[in-house]
Amino acid sequence: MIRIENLCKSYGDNQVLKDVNLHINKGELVSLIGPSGCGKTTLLRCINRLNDITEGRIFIDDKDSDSVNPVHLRRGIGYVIQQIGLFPHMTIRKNINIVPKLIGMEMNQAYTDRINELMHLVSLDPDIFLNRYPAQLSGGQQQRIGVIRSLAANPPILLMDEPFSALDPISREQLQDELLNIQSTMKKTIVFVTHDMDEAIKMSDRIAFMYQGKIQQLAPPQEMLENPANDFIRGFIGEERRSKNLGAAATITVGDIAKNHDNLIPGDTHISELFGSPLLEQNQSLVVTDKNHNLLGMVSSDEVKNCKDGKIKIQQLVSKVPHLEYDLNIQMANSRMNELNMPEMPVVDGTRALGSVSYKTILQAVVR
Amino acid sequence: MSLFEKVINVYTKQTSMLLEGLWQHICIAGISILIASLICIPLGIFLTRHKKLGGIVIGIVSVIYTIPSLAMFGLLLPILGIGSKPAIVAITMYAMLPILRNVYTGILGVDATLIDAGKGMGMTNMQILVSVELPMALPVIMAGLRTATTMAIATTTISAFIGAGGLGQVIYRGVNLLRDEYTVAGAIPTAILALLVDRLLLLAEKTISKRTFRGGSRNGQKQ
Ligand SMILES: Nc1ncnc2c1ncn2[C@@H]1O[C@H](COP(=O)(O)OP(=O)(O)OP(=O)(O)O)[C@@H](O)[C@H]1O
Ligand SMILES: [Mg+2]
Repeated sequence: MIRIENLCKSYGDNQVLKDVNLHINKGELVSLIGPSGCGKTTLLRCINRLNDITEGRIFIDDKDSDSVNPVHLRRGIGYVIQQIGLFPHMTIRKNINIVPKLIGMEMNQAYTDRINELMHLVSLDPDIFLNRYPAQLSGGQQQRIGVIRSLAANPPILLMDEPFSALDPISREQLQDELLNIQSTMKKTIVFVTHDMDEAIKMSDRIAFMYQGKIQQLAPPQEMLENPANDFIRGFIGEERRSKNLGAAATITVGDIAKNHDNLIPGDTHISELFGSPLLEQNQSLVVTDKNHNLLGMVSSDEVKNCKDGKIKIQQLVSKVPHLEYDLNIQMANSRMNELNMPEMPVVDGTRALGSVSYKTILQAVVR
Repeated sequence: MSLFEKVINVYTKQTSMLLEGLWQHICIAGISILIASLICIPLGIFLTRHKKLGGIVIGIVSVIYTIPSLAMFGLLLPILGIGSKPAIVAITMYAMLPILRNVYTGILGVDATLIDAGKGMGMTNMQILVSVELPMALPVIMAGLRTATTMAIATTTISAFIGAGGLGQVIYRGVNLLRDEYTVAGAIPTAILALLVDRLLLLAEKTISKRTFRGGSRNGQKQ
């Protein structure tokens, strides 16, 4: 989706980005983390070409971004600027509508509903806040509007520069969850800049650790915690966080996690009964069982959605997959999933199915 | 007859002369401001895109601004003769500095973050100019227009000296004929006109400013 190749960026003699290579897949959330001034914002702004590139190339959707009109490129990429940047002379509603207007989106009922829903997701009452001006909002509220503004036109790619930095821990947590939700249901590709390691661990599929203009390590959160590539990263993460997370990984079992994610479905369920269920909406995988709650296998949401015949029973779609025992700790589970190259696996107690675990649910459990 | 009665006399007996003077005054000042705006607003915008040139052009316009008005009229007389033409040219040249400078600094003073945000969302340069830069700079631009207009009304009075007409003419008549009632009768409406226009423009400026930075000053109110 986004492919950055040999990117260099200099301001005068000051080389800010040095030979950065980064491939980001569709639907993936990659965090850029590192100390202040290491080049996170600069890298982000190269992607939507707010910064000129000194050397190297960036491909978006396999197209060299250099060959695309930058104005069109940017309209397809949501951007949350670090300084929020709401226009003070426009109402919140107008601020949010900017990109949809630019691309000539129809401002119909469905659109209004979606914006209202987004407002509710970030706990701002649309009836009150949409007609206000930015100066009448607190910093944290403005920041939430900044996030909504980037989502308004529903772009497939989002560049977010410390989007939650001005929020209190509780709303921050809440917005992180919502963003993860949006990302997984709508398969958004997100580049997420943060200072905060906990945030990066919780949100990311992979973390790119930057220091002095280079990506020092690019790895899934768990791996970065287990094997920091150098002492600087180890120090940045901190021993305390490492041992806390790794300690948690040693004590939490996959059974604990599976119990909290109820995605068990009896095998004789008709496909038609599943349409509109929350599981499908959140794109979760389904763990299919027989009458005695024994594991039959797994089916992905997409498979169900693609199945045109509502009369089929779900057990007919099942593919048999390896499973994990409930008492396996998540550290072990993680490496087993790596080995088998399966991002999600069912969990059983003997033959009885308990649910499933995925990289994401494991991470969320670790961070919690 | 006291001076007061004499002045009242001028107003009642020579109403049409005064009204004509007032109208000429408004026309000369108004046309000059209009021409100056038509030149300086686009020029100012252009210069914000070519900052190196901006310094030079504003330097030149500042020099013009420092020429005393009598000297300016003296310079223009041989070229344009007497009447309202040289007056309009002179006043236009004076009005350029406040308008040009405020358009230039107003736009350059717009918070760079906002322009960045606009660009990041895929606005074209024109869209950024029209829907971000100009509205944000409007209070400053209005302030420039107000300075220019007040100045234009004052200078129009002096331009009666070269036969441009206007309320200044009534004043000069009083001075030349040693008839104070004409001087006073011309000065009063001139002052009222200047004050009134200034107040009105100030009101407009404040309204616009309030609209731009509605509800408080949290966001980039730097002026
Ligand atoms: N327009 C510019 N001109 C010159 N140098 C710049 C410019 N923008 C950024 N830099 C320099 O580039 C380096 C990287 O800046 P950048 O904004 O990418 O850092 P960052 O990682 O986003 O930091 P922070 O976490 O503080 O936001 C810094 O040393 C900065 O001084
Ligand atoms: Mg930054």
